[in-house]
Amino acid sequence: MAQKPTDASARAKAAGSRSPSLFDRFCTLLAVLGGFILMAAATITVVSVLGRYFLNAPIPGDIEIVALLMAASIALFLPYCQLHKGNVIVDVFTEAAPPVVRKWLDVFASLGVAVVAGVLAWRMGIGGLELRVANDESMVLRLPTWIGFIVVVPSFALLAISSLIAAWRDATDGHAADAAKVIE
Amino acid sequence: MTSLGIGVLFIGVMIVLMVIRVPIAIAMILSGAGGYIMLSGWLPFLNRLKTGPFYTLSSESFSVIPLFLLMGYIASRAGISRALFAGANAFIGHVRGGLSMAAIGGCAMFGAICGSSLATAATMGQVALPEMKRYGYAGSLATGTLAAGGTLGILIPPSIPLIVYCILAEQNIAKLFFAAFLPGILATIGYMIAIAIYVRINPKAGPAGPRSNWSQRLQAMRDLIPILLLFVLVLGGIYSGVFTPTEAAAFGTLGALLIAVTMNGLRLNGLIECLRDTAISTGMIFMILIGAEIFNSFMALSGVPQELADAIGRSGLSPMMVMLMILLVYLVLGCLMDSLSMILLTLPIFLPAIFALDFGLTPEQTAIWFGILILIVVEVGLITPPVGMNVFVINKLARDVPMRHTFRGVVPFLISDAVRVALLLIFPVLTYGLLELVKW
Repeated sequence: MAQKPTDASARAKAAGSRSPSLFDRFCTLLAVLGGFILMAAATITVVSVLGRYFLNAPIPGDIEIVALLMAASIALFLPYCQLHKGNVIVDVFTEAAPPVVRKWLDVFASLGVAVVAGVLAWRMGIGGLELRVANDESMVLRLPTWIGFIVVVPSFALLAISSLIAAWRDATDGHAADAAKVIE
Repeated sequence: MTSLGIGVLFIGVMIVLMVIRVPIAIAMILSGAGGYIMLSGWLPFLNRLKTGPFYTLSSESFSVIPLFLLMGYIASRAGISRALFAGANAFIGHVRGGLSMAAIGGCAMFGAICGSSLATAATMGQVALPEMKRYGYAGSLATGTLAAGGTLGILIPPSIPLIVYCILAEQNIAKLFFAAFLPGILATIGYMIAIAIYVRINPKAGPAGPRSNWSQRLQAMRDLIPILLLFVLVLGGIYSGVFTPTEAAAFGTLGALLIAVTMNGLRLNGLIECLRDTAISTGMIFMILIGAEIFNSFMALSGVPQELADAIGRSGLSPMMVMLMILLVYLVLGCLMDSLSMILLTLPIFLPAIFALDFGLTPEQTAIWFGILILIVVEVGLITPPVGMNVFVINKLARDVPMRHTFRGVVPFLISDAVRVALLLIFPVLTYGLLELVKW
């Protein structure tokens, strides 16, 4: 399997048999919030296009607002995606490996995700602060660029935490490798 | 160590990481980071990370991806697939293999509002599989049809892999969407011919259904009207230049929501399910986009793509031979990886080589032709072992059909795919001809 189907049953399986923890629920909430932000971005785009064609009055700077909303929305999806093993892996080569080997490889992989997400959060945190000091603004609305980082940086930090949790779960759960195998 | 050597070394590192189950996106970031740091030091790399990933998330060209994903997931819950299948079935259900053909027709139409192969296969499968079972279709034909039909979801625009191709190859998304149309119709017809031949050889596999009368056909067509409107709004809007792809996707998302709420009674809980599906797919794709951005900037630094292009130029191989070899690489990779990571990883390496070759086409014609060919070849990986995702998804919906029957059922469609690829290789005009006909 190179990619996981995202229907509800697969999701339930991927999340394992544990009941969702507070952290799971929080990440789900953020993902749904991200979804509604995505729909808001769609609505703004639609209203602006209608305004452009019918009233000759598009929403000024609509693209800038949508870009910020998009970044926030996608960033909010990331921890949820990681918790539900949404990240694509190549597993044809390890299919025949003993479950215990797969399990520890998955722990190692989750730690890798945590390191990467942590570094990205750290660097973007600094990047956002620098943009703030530099008073970087968008062209039309003069929106400060750094406000986008307010959502994106904590989301990456959360992604790092959710990867650590995933690693912990895999390491302590004897059946983790099987739970991760969405497709029999 | 030369920069070329470092390039090859970290390609190797990335492959090793992928083999040991590190997520593809993370493997790209780790190996890309390693190589980048060796070539230009820590500081430039760390500085790059300050804003790079943020601009990937807020990029206007990528914003079309989550919107089309959401539109597809909402459409999957809008009861659209039932109307599409019934519509196609009213016209061809009475011929031998007709239900299979109707399922292919339904997949093609659903593909015109959904950019994902898995979603198309699963959505149509839920509707078409029980019907086929009821009329005594062979399990292999039924599941094979749906698995193959799903690939029409990414061939017929909108198509997520095609969007990514356009961004990498710096091509106009609207033009490529238009160009993919004829190959998509060819695929649909080719699949129907494959079914017709298959049921001629095995008449028991797909018995004919009852013939619909004209009032039933009219009713079935009436049910298709909202879907047709959505289709005209989205693709018509893009083709006519009224909408940018992002705007069209935004209209399509709200349009699909309107249909889902009014026609299929979608409620808040259902919508939240769509949002959660979108979150997983979007998160996955954007992690890969961030990874590819890092890995590909390292690749450009290392000079590997340019060296490969030069080596191919020096080798004296004919351009068509090179094209065949590249398609073969995609065919093999398609058996291991998902289509998007594959396209993102390999295009920056292959594109310079392709553009350096003389196929007797303009650069734009070459880009369109190559893009469509890749799209078809990577989709083949979705229906072949060992990781045929479409086959897995469909097989889960039809528990009574053994997996190997499904893989066997896919064979007629693979033959049809091979014929189509050969046709497009011999006649590149089939991809860009329509564009030139309308003088775009």
